[in-house]
Amino acid sequence: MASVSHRSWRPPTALLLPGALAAAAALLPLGYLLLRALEADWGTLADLILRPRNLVLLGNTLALTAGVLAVDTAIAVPLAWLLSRTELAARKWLTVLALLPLAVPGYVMATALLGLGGQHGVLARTLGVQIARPSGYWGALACIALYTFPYVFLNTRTALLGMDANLEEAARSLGCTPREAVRRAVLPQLRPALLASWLVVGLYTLGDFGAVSLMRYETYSYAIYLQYAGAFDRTYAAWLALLLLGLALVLILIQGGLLRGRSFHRTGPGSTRHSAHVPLGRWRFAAWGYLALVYGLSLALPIGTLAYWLLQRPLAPQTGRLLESASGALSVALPAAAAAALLAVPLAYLVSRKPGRATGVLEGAAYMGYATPPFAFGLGWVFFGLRGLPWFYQTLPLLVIALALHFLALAVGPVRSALAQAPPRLEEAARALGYGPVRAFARATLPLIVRGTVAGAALVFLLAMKELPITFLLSPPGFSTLATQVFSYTSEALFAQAAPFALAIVALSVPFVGLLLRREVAR
Amino acid sequence: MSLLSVRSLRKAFAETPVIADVSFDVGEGQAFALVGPSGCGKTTTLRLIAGFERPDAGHVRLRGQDITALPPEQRGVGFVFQDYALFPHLTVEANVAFGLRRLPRRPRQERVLEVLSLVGLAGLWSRHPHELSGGQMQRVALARALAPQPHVVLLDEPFNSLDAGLRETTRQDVRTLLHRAGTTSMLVTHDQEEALGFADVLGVMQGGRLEQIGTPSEVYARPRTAFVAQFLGRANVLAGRAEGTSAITAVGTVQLDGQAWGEVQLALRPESVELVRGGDWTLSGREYRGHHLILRLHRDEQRLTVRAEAPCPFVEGDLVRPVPRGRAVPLEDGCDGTPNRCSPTMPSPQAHDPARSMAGSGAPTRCGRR
Repeated sequence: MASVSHRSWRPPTALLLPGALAAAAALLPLGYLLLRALEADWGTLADLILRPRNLVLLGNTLALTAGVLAVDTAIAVPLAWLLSRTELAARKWLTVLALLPLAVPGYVMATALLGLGGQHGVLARTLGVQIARPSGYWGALACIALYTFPYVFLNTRTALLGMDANLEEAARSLGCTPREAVRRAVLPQLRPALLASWLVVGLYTLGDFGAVSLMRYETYSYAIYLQYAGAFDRTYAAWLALLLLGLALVLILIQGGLLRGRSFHRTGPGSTRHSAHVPLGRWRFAAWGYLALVYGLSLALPIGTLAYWLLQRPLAPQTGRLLESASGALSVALPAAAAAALLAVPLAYLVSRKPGRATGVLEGAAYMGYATPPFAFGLGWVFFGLRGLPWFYQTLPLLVIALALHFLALAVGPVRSALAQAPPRLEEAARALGYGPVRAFARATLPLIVRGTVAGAALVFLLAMKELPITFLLSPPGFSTLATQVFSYTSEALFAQAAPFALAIVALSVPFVGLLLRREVAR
Repeated sequence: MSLLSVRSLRKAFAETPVIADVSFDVGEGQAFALVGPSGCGKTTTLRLIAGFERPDAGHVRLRGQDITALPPEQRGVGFVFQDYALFPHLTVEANVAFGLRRLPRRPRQERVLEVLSLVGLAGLWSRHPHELSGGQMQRVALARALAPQPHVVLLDEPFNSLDAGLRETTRQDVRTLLHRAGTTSMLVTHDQEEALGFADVLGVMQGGRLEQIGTPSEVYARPRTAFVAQFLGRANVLAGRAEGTSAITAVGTVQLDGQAWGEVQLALRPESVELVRGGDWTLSGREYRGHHLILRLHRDEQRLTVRAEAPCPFVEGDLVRPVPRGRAVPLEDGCDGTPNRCSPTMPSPQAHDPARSMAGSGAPTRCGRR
């Protein structure tokens, strides 16, 4: 009886209540989305669903997702290999740089790319070279791929670092050339890492609204936006959102299916041996060239362009606007981060202390809120606000709650890993020493999960700061954040006006990358 | 009157019964050990007493008060965890002071110092758990449990995480400490040596039931079931035909400890058998253990374990004849393993030292066997 995994333990109502509440609230907008969608009569419904435009949207969305995944993989896998397996100098710093593009969200990248070309673009003004403004498929692809590839890079790098060198050597001893060994023994092992990151990137691409809208590429998100902003056929918007959500679910299911039943664990005893670093020799120049290209496109290009635009106009007249929208973003992001952390603690506690079907549902609901494409999620809240709580609709609290629930899963993660370091026996020890359940939690467990909770809150804060689609849909009239400012200036081609807001977002997002780094690179 | 009294305790997890009807008493100042193989329900019993789990049926009384429904913090029960469960964010001092929050500052510090000196760690009060060795963590855990002066201290396999060398000395230290502090204690372990060495009274548990309770020497010398006989050190379980004070078995006529008639199961300790050269048993295994040897014999399907003094003249392959020297104990299990089928007459508790009866006269060993 040394270890009994399932103790009988009744979760206290004090925990169950917020946990269940959070889960229910995360699912609520989806319910309203469904409700709204099903309101139409069958004739209209058939007309809405069967119209050929849906197929075009589906094709566009899939093409964009596939393109982003392909480009990301092509950029990230060689990069990860170079920075984890070779003798390249300054690999640590280069790794940090490879993650920095995460600080340049898609709509900021779009601002930069749009400001680059065209008659009055940066290139025309500085070099006299006129290139066409990127737009449509390729524009959207560039914007999204250039900021999502770090996810693929991060996973691939972790997998490469954790891989057992013996497998590669076994392949060599069985007659493989070095190149064959990589192809037959190393690459197949990257599969789970790639699948995991493809899911993340895929969901980002489906959910991206800023880049596709600015590049005028018709995906579901853009179509929903057009319906919402222009024609505003709500039933059709609801249907589009549902289709988008369905696509996200299919992506999740495919990923789960591809991962199932495969073992990538080491099969033998003994400890993992790390591979020796490969000397690059003459290839070093090619490697540096490749790095320069990747970093140039993903970092130097957007930041350089924005910096150029920033210098085109005096900043002074805009400082008021800048401060106002920064404080707007703060007034949303701070309470959203706090709320997400407060909800994440009971949720993570339930899930890790009482794993089972009921808590699995709670956790699933939290992740559903995150996996739901933000425009669909926001639209659900719009319907809920209009129907359920009209006095609540387009108020700041509603926006805060929606953002907190959307990012809840991100706060749950760090709290869960922190809880893994605080075994239940600590609380039992406190109970045996005379503490009631609440005090035992506060004295024995809480001190150990404070850091994880703060990290989770910080993550939510930074993402809420630059969040665009949900803020766009739910913000009170006249309310602006940095993100909405970038979006509206860019859609009117006012790049010089957009630049300070965009650069502010980049600056604010750098700590987010730092947080990711601390969690990922350290291990 | 007993300090801790457990009556008809039952507990099932997900409809699998883990504890089926367990009752026992622990006297004031006693060290009680619950011993059994893993999965027998002993840790669950301990957790039910501590209040970490609720029983499906039965009662736990502490100093006459029914505490079955009380939450752990109101029971006055100390608990030492297998992995110590020291608070990693607190120093040794704060860990030990954790249960003393109701005391004012001054007496609290005095008590902490007192208990830390008791376990010999007064110098380490400012360390954090990760700066301690396994043995030190063990003692801090004990000090933390003892500090609030609980009515009883429960120890869940507390020596498990220590390496073999440290284990024995720590066990003796802890035993001495608990006796010195006059604390009633209850230990749970799967290690029979630990149980025999630690306990004033021990209970052998299997499949959620207590098979036997008694002093270590009682239980060792007069096991009631084949399981108890085999779990507490080696024992040969033989079928035999009893005729009062002796029985005829595969190794010839053995004297019985008590009286029995008819078909019985008998426990015969390996040290109660001597070997003579020539016979129809084959010596098939010979394990050298320093001051003694464990010999394995077989004759067709029958097997026998014998403990012999070193030096031992026999080698593997020799033909030998086992000669029972000590007394065999009639077991309550039937010949087919079901309890009480053959209903041998068990001896009523007698005045003579039970430890002597099985080791017996003429056995080539003495009673101290640890």
